[in-house]
Amino acid sequence: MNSNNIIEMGKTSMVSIKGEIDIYSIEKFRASIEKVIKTQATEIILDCSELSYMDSTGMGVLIELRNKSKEMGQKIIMMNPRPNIKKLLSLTGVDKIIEIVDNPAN
Amino acid sequence: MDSIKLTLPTKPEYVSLARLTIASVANNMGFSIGDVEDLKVAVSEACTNALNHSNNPDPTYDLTYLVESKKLVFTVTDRGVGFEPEAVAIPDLNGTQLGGFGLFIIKSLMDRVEIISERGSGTSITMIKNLSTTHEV
Repeated sequence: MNSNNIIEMGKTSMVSIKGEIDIYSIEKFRASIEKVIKTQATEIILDCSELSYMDSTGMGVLIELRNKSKEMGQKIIMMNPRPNIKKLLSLTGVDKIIEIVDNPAN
Repeated sequence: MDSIKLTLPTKPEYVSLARLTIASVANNMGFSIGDVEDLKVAVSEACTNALNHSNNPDPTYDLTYLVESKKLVFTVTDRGVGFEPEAVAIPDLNGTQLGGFGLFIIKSLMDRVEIISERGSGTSITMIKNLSTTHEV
């Protein structure tokens, strides 16, 4: 999992999440997003175009991060998750509490 | 019927190896891309449970893949403390109960799931995915 590609655009921060999020890479993922939550960003966009795999470990942390950012008045958005990840987000209902957008540019 | 056995260290970095091997076996059997993804998630969830919840004193746990003509039967066995499957709470997104997602996902994605768990001697979870006769384009 590689997510050191953080682009700040005004009050929006875009984080590119690459590779796989599982029990091994989860702490790196958590730390990289927590770093963004500590900034002034009001909107955190997770670019998932190059995220090939995520399971319940990632989803649990996503929910934790969403709750944390909500307290800070921030919003987490997932952009372009792949069909396999979208399926799990829908199955678990995570897509009801985290906004998912498809960017037509990709 | 071919049988493949894998013993993995109880370390998070090797869970990806379970995904790689099941993807390879499932691809060879002719599973669709979507089903291969489901199988990767199911085996990964079972391995994650074996690492997170079993308090396994043993440094390893086992995976078995049974290749049958129309289905893949695979089992993840740990030698941890065991649990009561009926006692696993249903996950609640808006509350504090974030556990239990793994089993919920496995049961949703697989055609059949059997859990044998004994207090003090470990857990064995067997998952079955049928080879679909309808082909995805």
